[in-house]
Amino acid sequence: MKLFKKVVDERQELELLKIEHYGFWILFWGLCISTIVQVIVMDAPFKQVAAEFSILMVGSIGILVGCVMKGQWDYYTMPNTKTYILTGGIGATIFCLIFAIAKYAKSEYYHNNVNELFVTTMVNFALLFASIFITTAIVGKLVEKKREKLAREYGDKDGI
Amino acid sequence: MKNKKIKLARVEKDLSQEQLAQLVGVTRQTIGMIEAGKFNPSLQLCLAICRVFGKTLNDLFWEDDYDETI
Repeated sequence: MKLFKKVVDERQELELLKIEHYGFWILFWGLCISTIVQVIVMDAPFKQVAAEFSILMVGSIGILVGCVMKGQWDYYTMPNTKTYILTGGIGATIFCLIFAIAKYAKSEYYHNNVNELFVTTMVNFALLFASIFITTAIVGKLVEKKREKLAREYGDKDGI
Repeated sequence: MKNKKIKLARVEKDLSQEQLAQLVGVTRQTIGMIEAGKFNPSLQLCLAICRVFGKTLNDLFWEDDYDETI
């Protein structure tokens, strides 16, 4: 027996889902920006952002697991190498831009050693790009596998 | 509940799930899940499927032994 009985009709349910969708993304990006700003711009110790970082990670991993389990990827892209490269490139570029600007503005050392800042940023870029690329590629492959499984499960068994 | 009417209409038209999916702008899995009764399509998608087969909503989606309990 269900503990709570739904009292919304299907239109209301769809509208609630839409509201929750926007709410989730506002919370996600807000948390993401807040963590980055605190750590990179305000030089906060990790201890200070540990709780919100953990929540962000739990939410992100939850979304990834949900997408893999249902064979879903994204509204606007397909799981392919071009998408993985684009995602890695955009993510790493944004992060490294914030990192480089913050370090240049706040650190006396990097302010006087721009070449070193450039090398550090490039190393960060490479590492971040590789991490995002590998993660999205793994998730993409798992999503494709699930889609194939769904197609087999609900596909024509008599070859029609 | 399985939707055998769509599958029959598809077979009559000699279309695969993939071809029907392309014609109505969805994925093959979605067509498979509609036929298996695992997904309720929107009215828009129902109409698109009807147009492909030249049939009415009644022909493809009316269930004679429909149970009113949701």
